Amino acid sequence: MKELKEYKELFKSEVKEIIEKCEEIILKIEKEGIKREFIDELFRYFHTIKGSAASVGEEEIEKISHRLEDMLDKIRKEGKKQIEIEEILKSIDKIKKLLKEKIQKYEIEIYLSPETPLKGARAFVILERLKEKFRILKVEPDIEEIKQDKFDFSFKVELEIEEQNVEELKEILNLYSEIEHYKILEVKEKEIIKKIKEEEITEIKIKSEVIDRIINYMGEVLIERDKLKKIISEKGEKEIKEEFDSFERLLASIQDEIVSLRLIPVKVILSGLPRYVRDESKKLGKEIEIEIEGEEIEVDRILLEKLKDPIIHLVRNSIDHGIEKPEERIKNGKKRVGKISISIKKDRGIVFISVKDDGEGINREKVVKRALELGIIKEEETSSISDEKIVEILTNPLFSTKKDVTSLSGRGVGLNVVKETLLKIGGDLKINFEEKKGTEVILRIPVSLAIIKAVIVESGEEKYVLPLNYVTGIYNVKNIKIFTLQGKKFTIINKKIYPVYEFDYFIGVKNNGKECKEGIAVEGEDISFVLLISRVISEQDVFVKNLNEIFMRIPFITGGTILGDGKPYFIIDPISLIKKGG
Amino acid sequence: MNPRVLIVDDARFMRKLLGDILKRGGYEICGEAATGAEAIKLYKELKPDIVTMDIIMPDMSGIDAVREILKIDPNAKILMVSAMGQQALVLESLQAGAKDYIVKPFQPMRVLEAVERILKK
Repeated sequence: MKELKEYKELFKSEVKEIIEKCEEIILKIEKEGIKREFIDELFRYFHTIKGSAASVGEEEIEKISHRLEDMLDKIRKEGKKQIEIEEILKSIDKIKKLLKEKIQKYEIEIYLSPETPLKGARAFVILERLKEKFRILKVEPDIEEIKQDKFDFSFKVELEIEEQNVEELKEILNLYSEIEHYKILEVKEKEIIKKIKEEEITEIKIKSEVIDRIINYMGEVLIERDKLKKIISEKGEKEIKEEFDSFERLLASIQDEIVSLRLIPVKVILSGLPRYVRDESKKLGKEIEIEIEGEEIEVDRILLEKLKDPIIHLVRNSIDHGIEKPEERIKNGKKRVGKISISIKKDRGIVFISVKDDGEGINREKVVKRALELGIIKEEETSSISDEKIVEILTNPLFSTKKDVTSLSGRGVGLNVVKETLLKIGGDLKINFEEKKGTEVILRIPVSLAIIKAVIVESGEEKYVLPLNYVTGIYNVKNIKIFTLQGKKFTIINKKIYPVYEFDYFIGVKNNGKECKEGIAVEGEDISFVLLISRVISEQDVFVKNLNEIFMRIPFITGGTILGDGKPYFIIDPISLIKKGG
Repeated sequence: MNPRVLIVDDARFMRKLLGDILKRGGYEICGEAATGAEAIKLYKELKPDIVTMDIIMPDMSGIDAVREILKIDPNAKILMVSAMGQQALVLESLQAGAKDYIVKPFQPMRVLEAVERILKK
């Protein structure tokens, strides 16, 4: 019995994958027309589903896939040029729904009335009846004892039911007037469900909350390690130091593996999008295709969960307000079918997700007019408004109100929510737009929330943690020449000119005349500079802790951490610091 | 149409008693058999919706009759009629494929309840 359940888990995850592929093909058919290979592929997929469904007793899924298989076979044989896309999609939705049904374990205690004649036989009949409908896992006392009347009018049954069928269970129990009363209790699931594939266990499923706990412990371990390291480097003997070094290396390997446990491909949250775009654009009488690139890139599951809504939001914006109706597009010399492209790229621990459309872009005048009405900007500012200012307006909470959905054909709908979500997870957003040509929103997020490589610096009297993502080098100030041009400081490293900024000035603290001994070279996507700090203390992995929202609202603070001395420190994003601080 | 019942019992009194209860409950008695062999013959002819089956009969046991009827129609719905203390026999017939049982002396409500339960499947 237990094994069947495991196979069912496996069945569900596989069918889910296949269904996604089927959806992709159907959308292709819609775009490119019926091709023999598409039909063949679909046929094969539904055939597979049918076979697997039959072997795990998923009758409903078996029936649906059988019907689809028949239909496709007919199309194949008769060389039909038409296919009932809506019908197939509806059937797919039904399979999806059936897959979602949650099977739950229940323990039922049945109390027979003391007047029940032949109570063993009665209990047996009831059990047989339950067996017809549900999967019985355990009976207590066991069935042989029950048959010999070795029970005192009450017995327990553990069975598996889909949640929505509990009512049916009650109905059956109510058929027997010999049952005086009964209790139904939910049984908690085991934490680990094994996946069995070809008698060899190659994968196990671990509940994500367990991974979260392990990562949290890992964080604590790293803090302890740092404390230990401090003590050892101050007082330890050579042998202890060497031993500690190999311990540290081991720890680093474990840490890498643990962090990777939580990484899952972005595909997981994007797989529903082609279908979503199809359905929603149809409703609005628009024609839109979607292209996704780089969906295999892996990101921390916790981050992905938080990114799902923002991405859907952006796509929704593109469908509603970005892409024009076919007639309008043609009139403007564009292709009839609009396009939304999502591309994901990974670079040095940062993931970039771009949601781009070739719609009508952002109408500056309308945005400015509305911003004036709302009092976000003043009349005198309107003459010279930069693109950056437009983006600022768009992400202003005042601007991003529901009311604007109809009054403004541009963007701005809920963009502030998107931005806030990103800031909370240590990310950021950028908007590129060109009127009449399209809009691109780029989300920037770290790959993992949990543990990052960082450099610990001292500036003034304080210590700060800077992520190493964008740091390309650390230089002694003596070794780089700093010169002044029109009152601004610059330096040249590897033949490239960098502006030089003082960390203290931007963070807003006085350094009490402390000398800046070191410079950190930072290279961002569109900005590079050297940041002067008092000194670099160390380079190490730090465990990121979420901070109180008040701190998270400061754009250049991306989180907090606890270092070897047991004290909390801010994690500062140097690029946001230069752009937004000071 | 009312569900049709075939009553199998070697005692005429029991057949009458059961028949009256079932008729009052809205069932049609389509036939009565006093032996196992007769029951099998009538089942083939009448194709009833449900059969009530006495366990102890002169020619063959009700349990054997259950097995034979199920060979003819695997979906046959059979209700065993048992006396007190016959638990082992009742269990045997249930394992042979009977759906439920009632115990003599029976209360009319229990009879109707058991028949309804079987037909509800």
